[in-house]
Amino acid sequence: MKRVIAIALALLLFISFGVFAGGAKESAGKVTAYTTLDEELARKVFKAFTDETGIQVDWVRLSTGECVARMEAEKENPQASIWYGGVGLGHIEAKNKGLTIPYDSPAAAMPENFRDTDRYWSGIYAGPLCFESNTQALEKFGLTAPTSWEELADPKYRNHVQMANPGSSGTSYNVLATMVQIYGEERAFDYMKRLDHNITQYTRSGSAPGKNAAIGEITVAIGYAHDGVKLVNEGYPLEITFPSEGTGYEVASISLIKGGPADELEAAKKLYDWALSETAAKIYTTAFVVPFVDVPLPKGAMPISKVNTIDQDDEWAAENKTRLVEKWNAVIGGEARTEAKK
Amino acid sequence: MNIARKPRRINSSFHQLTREPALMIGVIIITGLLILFILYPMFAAAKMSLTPNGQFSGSVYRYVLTHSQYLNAIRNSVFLGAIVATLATFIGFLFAFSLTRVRIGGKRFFQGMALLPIISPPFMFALSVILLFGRNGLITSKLLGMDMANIYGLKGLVIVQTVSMFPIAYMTLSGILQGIDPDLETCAMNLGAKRGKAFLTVTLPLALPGIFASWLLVFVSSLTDFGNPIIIGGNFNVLSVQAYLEFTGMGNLPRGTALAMLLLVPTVGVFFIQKYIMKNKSYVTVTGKSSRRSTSQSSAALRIILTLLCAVISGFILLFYATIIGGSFIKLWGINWSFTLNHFIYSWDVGFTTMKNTLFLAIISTPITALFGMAIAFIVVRKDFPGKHIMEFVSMLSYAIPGTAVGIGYILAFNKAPFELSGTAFILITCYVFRNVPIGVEGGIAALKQISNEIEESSINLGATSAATFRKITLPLIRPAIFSGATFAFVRSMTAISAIIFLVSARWNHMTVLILAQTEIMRLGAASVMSFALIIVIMVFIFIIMKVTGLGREQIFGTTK
Repeated sequence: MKRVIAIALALLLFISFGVFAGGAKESAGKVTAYTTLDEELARKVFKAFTDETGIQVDWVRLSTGECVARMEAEKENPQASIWYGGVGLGHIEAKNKGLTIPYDSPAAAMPENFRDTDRYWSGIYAGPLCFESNTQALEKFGLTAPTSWEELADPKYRNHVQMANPGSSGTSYNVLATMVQIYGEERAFDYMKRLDHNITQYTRSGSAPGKNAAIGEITVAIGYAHDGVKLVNEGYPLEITFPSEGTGYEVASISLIKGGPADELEAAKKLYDWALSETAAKIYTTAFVVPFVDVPLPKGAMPISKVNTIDQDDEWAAENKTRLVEKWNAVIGGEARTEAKK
Repeated sequence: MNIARKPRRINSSFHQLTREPALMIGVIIITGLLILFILYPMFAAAKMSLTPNGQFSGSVYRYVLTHSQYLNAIRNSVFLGAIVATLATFIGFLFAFSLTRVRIGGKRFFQGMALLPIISPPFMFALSVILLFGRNGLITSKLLGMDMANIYGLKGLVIVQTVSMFPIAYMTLSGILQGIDPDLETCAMNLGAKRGKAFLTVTLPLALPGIFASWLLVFVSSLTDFGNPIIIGGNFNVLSVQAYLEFTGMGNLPRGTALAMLLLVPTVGVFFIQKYIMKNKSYVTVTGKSSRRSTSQSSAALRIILTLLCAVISGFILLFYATIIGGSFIKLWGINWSFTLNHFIYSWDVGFTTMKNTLFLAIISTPITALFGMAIAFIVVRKDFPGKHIMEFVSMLSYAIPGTAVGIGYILAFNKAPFELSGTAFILITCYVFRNVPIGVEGGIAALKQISNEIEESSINLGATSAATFRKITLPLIRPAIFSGATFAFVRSMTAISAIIFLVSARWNHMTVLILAQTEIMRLGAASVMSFALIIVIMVFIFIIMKVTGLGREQIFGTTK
């Protein structure tokens, strides 16, 4: 019997520990956020915001596709009030699906083409797509860093390339949409099919291929330049190149979620405004992204104005997403793969 | 005759209900909870997949079953499951046979090795296989000098699933083998059969139903496994991952749900077959023969061979664990091999709150699961009322529902009024409780059936109240089963992923989901630290349970499958 009492007491202790630890945080309000910012950047950003305003942020990191899907699944009972970061066309998709609400932030100062005309979403930073190649691996296999989309599909890179799954990753859908905008639909899918022979794995998250290239799990990755530059600055042997045919870019954006917890709305708006501020912009640059606020850039940061970008139509890309991803699934996923290719 | 007899039975069982209002209330509450948290989510999922546009239509299933990417996923899942089930059953049999029928040395050690994978996070082995056999792997790249090692895909999956699932086969088969009277073999040999022939003609045929059952159990585990394929599956597409990607990645809720429902067909089928096979085998060990020696004479050569085989496999398992521990201290696996404690600092920073929450949820749900399971078992075994078998069946059914389908069902069922539970701790706790309750029910039924009614009756005849009888007679006898069930419930809550990945939120995250995220962004060091920490926490908990209750490893891990 004593033992039973001992167990009961131990349990009670644990439970109260949990409850108190959970309940002690209430202070200057709180906001629940979904974020697609890089995990580390997200941590810095939300910490700075909480330090400055006292508003607690509960956040979870999800990829662009996961964010939209979750907002849609939770449509009748949204759990979060704000979606912070993530590829712009995901935000357009969310707007088209009626998952977000407009907010004309007084802090918005970005060029008009990087924010929604109806004020549903605002761009926070932009970054171009690039190739990230592991220099040691290149040397080992006698390869050079690819400089065009065409070269990337060359058989010499067979099993050396990684990109994310366009279904789950906004980065990767950005690639697919870019190819369609460069080549036209038919040739683009023909290209994706050829490229598929070189791909070892389609990852779930858009930044994973770059990280795999950094540590040598793969030779060449397709990803955003700022993610690559950041890895270079951490000392990884990566070479960043841009395709000569032109490349796509992301406008990482922010939106308020429709019907989020009512008591969070004011705090969410504060976070929204803060996200467009100079303070926030300075934090973004530590991740080598180029914000729309004019702040000093670290060495290596790559503004889209310095790269050969295509004339990108995000509205079109967002509207055609389901169709193009479906088609990609049928064309690429439909091939028999009983064994990872050698 | 039968028809005439039936109403009377029902009448008498109704009679028991009306005579004991407490029982009636208990039955009503339990039935309500089972319907709400097991059947209703499945109904919500079925509805989603069958009414994609608000109207009843089989179009989603038609699409899935006519498009090669989904057919490939189905084929891959079945193919992988068959390979893993065969290998794992073979290894499980090897361990079970060596440990129960042959006196090999180091018995406790090998037994520990066969149980260790059960208390590990679901994809721990996938992680260490990447560290060992990946492109920068210790073995592939450093020892063998391979440049293009590709462990992602079928090969990697077969390795990790076999290692993590052979304990299922081991536990099923050791129960069966213990139940086979060794005198049968001795008789065969006395009649002139050689050891090998006695094995093939006596032991093996008797163990065959068990072998088949364990094959099926592993097959289903492989089919519903989510943690390993999402990490190491590469381009080898399987159904559980495809369902997840379709549902959360692409936002195609009807199709993701349909894929999850397809998983339900084989798992429920296997559940029925397995129940049928094991029907008369479950309680063999309580006939009083369990204390008897079940080993029989075996040659030294056989003993050495079996010991060696078990040692090789155990060596592999230890290597996987050593790799995880090593990975926790290495700066950058494959590139910079210097020693660091940074992963610990980072993991503490990133994972402490999540670890606390994970532990908190598991600790809350554990006693609820154990007591709820025992309550159902008690009612089912000791009481009689109409619909009793349905109650038992539904409570066991959640065992057969794949985690992916449960997760999807929960998010669909409990995201709108009147059940707005998503994002709360409550939804995670109920998910744990109802997913793990079969363990408690099964253990409870087995334990209660051992206790003859007459013991309780004599206690009452001697003047004890029925409450006192329960406390002094029944409870002590079922105590090991309760704690065994609780331990399993705890371990499964701590290592859950396939269902809860749909249910975690910003406020309530789970360690396994966090580890998955770290693996995905290739922070393998941090992922190693977190896996390691999770195992330590689980081990400490089991240690405390064993110390506090005075139960041994066999009692904790032996009474349930």
